[in-house]
Amino acid sequence: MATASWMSPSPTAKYGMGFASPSATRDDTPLAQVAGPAPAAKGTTQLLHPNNPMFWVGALLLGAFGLAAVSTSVRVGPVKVSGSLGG
Amino acid sequence: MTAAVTGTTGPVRYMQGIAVPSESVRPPEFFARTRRKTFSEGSQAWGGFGTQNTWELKKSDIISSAIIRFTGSLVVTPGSGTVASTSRWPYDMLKAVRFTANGASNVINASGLKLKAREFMKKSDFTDRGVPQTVTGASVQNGTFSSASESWGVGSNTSALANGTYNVDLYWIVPIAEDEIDLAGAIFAATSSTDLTIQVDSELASNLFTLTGNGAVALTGTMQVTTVKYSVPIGSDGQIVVPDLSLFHSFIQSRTTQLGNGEIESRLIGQGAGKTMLRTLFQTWNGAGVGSPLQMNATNYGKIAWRYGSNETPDEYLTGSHLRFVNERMYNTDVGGVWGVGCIDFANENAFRDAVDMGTTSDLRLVTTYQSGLTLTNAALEYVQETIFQAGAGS
Repeated sequence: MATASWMSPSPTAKYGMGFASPSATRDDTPLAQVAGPAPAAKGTTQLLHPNNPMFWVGALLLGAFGLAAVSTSVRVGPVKVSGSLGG
Repeated sequence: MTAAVTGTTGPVRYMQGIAVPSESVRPPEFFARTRRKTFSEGSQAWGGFGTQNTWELKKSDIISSAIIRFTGSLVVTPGSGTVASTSRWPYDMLKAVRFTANGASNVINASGLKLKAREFMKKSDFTDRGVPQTVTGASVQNGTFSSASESWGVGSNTSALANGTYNVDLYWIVPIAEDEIDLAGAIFAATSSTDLTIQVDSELASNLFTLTGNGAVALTGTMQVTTVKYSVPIGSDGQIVVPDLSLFHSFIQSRTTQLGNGEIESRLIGQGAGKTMLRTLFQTWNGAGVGSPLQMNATNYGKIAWRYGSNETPDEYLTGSHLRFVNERMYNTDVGGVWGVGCIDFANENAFRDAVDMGTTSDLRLVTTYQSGLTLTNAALEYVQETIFQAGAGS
């Protein structure tokens, strides 16, 4: 038996988007396509990628100064022990 | 061993700050089973000009609207002086009507005339056409907001009132629910934790009547509040059944005197996510003393609009005459002719399509343009925002 029914609209159906759940807070929403670097240049955004100039600057600095910092010496009484790597 | 008695803790929904079992929210069953009640909240002796009458509403059922009635007699005694009424008479005799519900303070806060205007805006089949009343000494049959069942006693903004005793019988509707059909914005009152109050501030005598010499007026009478309520029925499963009561309806009046000739932007306040604006209506009071509302015409008003963001202006009405026509077409009542009310309405035709989401329209403004030939004296813009929002979004 069908029951008598009168449907009242939901707030969203009656008053529109002000009552819809806010879609802007969804964290799985992909970003919109915008103008930017070509896909081939994507590696430049990663610091440890050979395409990134900063990678080679880092390598140069490491070669010039990094290994020098490893050099050390220890003196105990008359015995001197020293070790050195690189420069 | 006897089993411990434990309460059931099923899922609940908060409606206007009150926890209701989720399964009790069944609008179709509610509307099938509920019973409408027109209920007296009590009659009080009117306190007099400049006083306050307060009603604490009885805690039962679901409230959709309230009707305030004033009935009494006005005694005019010019003596050797004169008695004249101002434009605040009769409907702004209620300087402010405030309705407070469940911690949301003043969801309704507006003067009597604005409440009358709203009634004609919401119910476009309700009209004042053909009801004669006296305004500025002349008989007017359109746009007075009067019902044939009302009695003003004396005309509005009318001078040289004659000696006599006049019957006064006036009604105002307090729109607690935005929609009395589907009860959007109705208030759940069947709990002792509810606090529902209607507070009526009456206007000062000096703002309603102008006296010279030994002229005098005396108004006595009673105020009654009746509410329209709906019972909370028991459903087929033995639980209470309620409609969707997650909304609050708000009708708030503001006033600004920051006016001048040319285009004026007045900020629409109370903006926030989850709030939806249904209409904004306004009047400009101008002139010495109490003043009178500026008629909605092209002599007084240039462009009228609403605006948001830096300069987004979706609706632009060319002049006051343009808006007056648009409003009369919407409401079947000439709201701008006598009382100078203009309204930018987002709900009259299709709220789903037109209502303004206040969460995505920053810096909402009402734009009014006062023509250069207009002399502004003590000018004040009185404007009302009608919104609907999820309980908890603030009022």
